Amino acid sequence: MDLLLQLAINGIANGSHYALLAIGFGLIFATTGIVHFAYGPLYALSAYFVWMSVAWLGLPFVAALVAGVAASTVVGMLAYLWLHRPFERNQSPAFVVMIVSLGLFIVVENGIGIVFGTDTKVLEEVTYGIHFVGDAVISELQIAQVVALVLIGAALALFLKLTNYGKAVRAMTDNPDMAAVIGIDTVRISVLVFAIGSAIAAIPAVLVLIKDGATPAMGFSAVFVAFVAVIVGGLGSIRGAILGGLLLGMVENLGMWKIPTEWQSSIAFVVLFLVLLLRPNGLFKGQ
Amino acid sequence: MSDEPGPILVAEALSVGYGKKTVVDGVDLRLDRGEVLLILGHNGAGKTTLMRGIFGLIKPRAGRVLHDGADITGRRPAENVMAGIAFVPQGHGIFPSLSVRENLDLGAFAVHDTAHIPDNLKIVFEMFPILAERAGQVAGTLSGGQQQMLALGMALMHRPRVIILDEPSIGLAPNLVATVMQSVKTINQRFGTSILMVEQSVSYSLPIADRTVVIKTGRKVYDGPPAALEDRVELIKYF
Amino acid sequence: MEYLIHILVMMCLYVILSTSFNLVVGSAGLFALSHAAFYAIGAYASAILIIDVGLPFPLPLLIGALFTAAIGAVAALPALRIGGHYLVIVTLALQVIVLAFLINAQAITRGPAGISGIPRVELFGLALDSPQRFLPLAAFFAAFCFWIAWRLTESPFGRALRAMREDEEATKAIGKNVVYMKLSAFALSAGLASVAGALLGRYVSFISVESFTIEETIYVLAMVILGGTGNLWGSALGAVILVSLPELLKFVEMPAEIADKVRQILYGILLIVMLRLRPEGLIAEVSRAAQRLAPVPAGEVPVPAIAAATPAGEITVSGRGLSKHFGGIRAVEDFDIDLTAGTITGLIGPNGAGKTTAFNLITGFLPPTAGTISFRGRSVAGRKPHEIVRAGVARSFQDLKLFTKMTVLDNVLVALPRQSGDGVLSVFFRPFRVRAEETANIARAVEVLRFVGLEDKAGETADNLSYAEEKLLVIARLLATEAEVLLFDEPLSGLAPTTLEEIFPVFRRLAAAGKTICIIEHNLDVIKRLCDTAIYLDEGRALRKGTPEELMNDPELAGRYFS
Repeated sequence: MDLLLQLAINGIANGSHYALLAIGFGLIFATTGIVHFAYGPLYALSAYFVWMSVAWLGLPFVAALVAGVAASTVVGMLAYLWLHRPFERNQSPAFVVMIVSLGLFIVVENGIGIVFGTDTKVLEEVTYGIHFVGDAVISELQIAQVVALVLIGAALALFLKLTNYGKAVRAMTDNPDMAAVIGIDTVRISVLVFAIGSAIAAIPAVLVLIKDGATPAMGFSAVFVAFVAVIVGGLGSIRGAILGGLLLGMVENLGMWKIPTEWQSSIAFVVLFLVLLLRPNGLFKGQ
Repeated sequence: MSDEPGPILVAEALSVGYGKKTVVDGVDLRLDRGEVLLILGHNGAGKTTLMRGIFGLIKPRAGRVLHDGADITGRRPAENVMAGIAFVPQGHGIFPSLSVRENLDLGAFAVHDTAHIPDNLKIVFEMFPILAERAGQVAGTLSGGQQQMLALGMALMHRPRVIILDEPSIGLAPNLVATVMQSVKTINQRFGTSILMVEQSVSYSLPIADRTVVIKTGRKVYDGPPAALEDRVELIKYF
Repeated sequence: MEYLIHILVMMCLYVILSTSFNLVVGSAGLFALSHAAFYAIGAYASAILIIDVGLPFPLPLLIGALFTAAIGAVAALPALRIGGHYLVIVTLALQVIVLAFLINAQAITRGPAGISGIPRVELFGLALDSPQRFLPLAAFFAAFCFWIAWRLTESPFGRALRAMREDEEATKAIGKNVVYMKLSAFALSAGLASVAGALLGRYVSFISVESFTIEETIYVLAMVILGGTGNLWGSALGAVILVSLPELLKFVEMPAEIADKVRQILYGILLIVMLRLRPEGLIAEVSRAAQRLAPVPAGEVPVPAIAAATPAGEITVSGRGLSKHFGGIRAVEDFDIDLTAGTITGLIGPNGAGKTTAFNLITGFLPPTAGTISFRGRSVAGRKPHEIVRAGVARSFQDLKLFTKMTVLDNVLVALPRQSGDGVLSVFFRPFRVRAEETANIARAVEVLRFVGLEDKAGETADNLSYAEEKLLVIARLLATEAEVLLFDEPLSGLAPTTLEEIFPVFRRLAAAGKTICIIEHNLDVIKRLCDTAIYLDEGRALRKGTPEELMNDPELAGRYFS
């Protein structure tokens, strides 16, 4: 019973991490149609940026965090403007856009490896405590992951519902052609969602940096999980992305009750397979 | 700017196409201030492509588009909206997942001077009471006719001086078509809005047109008074 | 010198990988990211079969290929049915799970340490334990795999694949099973990739997961993009170039781990730059010229053959209570229709009335919300479009959907039914039959072109045709399906009166030969002169049925539609 509780806690915490990744990736994908593979390495880059600010530049953690989010936002916007926009102007087919994104993926991933090396970077300065729930343990970091999801999810929902730009994002997601017709600057909105999506990605990046440390390979698994969560939850739905991420986290961890740890990542594939077989539109699509 | 002489919208030798194909080939068009210009033609003639080329959704490959004498060829739709040109695309140009009210609000999205928007909303609700009734309803669940009214309402939200309409009657019952045509005429007469309208329902659209143009396989084959086309035998010649 | 030979061996392996990847990404137009996984499965399956089961060369390689192809097929099937982004994520997931399996299933795969000590191939008593000795074997397999991919792309299957890549809906409408096609291309590609894996194990005597990461897939992708998607010689060239390129890097001084990363950064940049500047690759896809045509006898051209015709006067297609709703929109509502053999029925009504939707319902392109459709007494509800076409009901599209990058002849040729060459197995195991059929089919295609008057344009690429010629080609392609029920969606809009006069006899002769024809048209003169009966459709409902004269003289319809 306690094992189950522990697994559930881990599931919600991990699920929150996946959900945050899914929100950023899903927002970009739903609005612009771009499968932003480089999202993974850029997420990794923000972790490295924060680490570098503390370890090499000696900044206090909070300042480094802010710098990390800012850097991530700027890089995300540039990735769209300098890389994707020229192809969009050419009306390149979707698979060209994906290959270009893969190109950026591999450049950034290896760039990180060259600049920072492949050893795991940790932030010893930042420590956190743990709390007990019965015999199960919940760390403050896990609490932070859940809180981050709640705050960011709520903020994004309010932004989309209430602000003009938010409405423009929803309009573009719903009917891109009509969005252009009513005069929405689709380029500006695309830059906006790349900015927001990248900024959001910086948060789970920093939390993982604190928890496990940063490695160049962390980008691939991040974008992979985000992509799966978005598909499972239903393309084009922020709510779906969150629920998809949470579901993946829960299934992965609860699955460990019976399945050996090494097979964790395979669980994602199995869930995906089932979803595609039974409900290809995703589990939580619609409103 | 508003009472200058000369046409409000001009297309000069406009050619528009996709990839290798030139769909619209050297078409000249003139929309006079306050008039309703009707564009007719067979399916696949290039009428929609022509409208989208004028509005800037597709970059023309040759020719010019002039608005009040200024060259607006191929410029972004956002700028056209801000200059007072609206476009109502074919097939219910609405945002299906958003509510009726959100759709209407988006119609005025590109407008910076927001003072008139509440008045415009009142006008839209007055012309199409059904939209007021269903303001909170998700737009995708409206019937075809209601969605078309919503699309028209969206165009009105920024009180444009020119409205380009692409087959507003498509898929509608005859009485609804009559209502839509009547609404278009009312907009034209009440606000002096110049209307550029593509239609295929000849019997309902011809009566409200001031002038008619027929497009056949990408070229203009007729440009003149609608009366001459009322004879079906004459009309068939151009299709 | 030995090092140079080693490079040549690696080139052979990568030619296999890039050519097989090109089949999927280039020829079939499927974006998949699992190629390294198949490379891995081939390597591991072969190594395990050699070491643990003791099978002699070349059995492990062949069994491994079949095994890999099967895995590829099973994994991709759900995604192939859906298409697009789903295939990307499923193949990505396959990559992840295969690697996870290889690392974790230690009992079988020896885990992260990899499998070492793989015995060398022994041929005629000679162990192939050096690059010089291995090269002939590698080159043989490279040539063989290349030939397999080549044979496939040049076959009728390859032609259908190119059509599918251009327009999937139109390809379904000519009776091709696109899911089968995608699956076959994908499985074959996986099998070929696994051959490279098996060879790698035999060559280096050691395999581990490090060689089979996602970065490896991107490396092979770079070869395909560099060389040219859809051109197999191109991807072979890409392999040669990208295997030699890193060797040039060796002249620059840098530590080993950095060198590898720099190499990969260069591939990434290469991908982006190539797609920006020359997306078709170094060697663009070849546009195929027309085949040599046999001389055609003069005189009246007989109507192209019909399969099992229904006697004239009998009902072939029957629909009752058909409805199709999209959200709040009722595109078709309670629609009844009967089409009779030997007659031409007109479907008229305003745009948006539901006419094309009705065609979509009858031919399986859309499932009805309610109602039944049957063909010759048997229900076709739930059947896929290509099955319905093969049964005998085919349609054309209002927006033409011609295969613009293919020749006029190929557009018709690809639509001919019952081609053994559409099946992958026949392409390889019954080549003579496929070749004989192809010759006969070319003659049949020319006949169809003569019937509509397009035989002079047989060698033209479809996008070079005039508007009228395009409309004729649409008719020809539909005829080529040999379906007995032909549904034409606005076949004649925009044609000059003189052209119409030439085309009318085509329709009449088809009807006289017993075909069932239904035409959607707006031109009422056409309806009057061609159609035996007409249905007036408005707001999704069939409001009136009768002869064209009856409909046009109906006062209510005159108000609604006829000006």
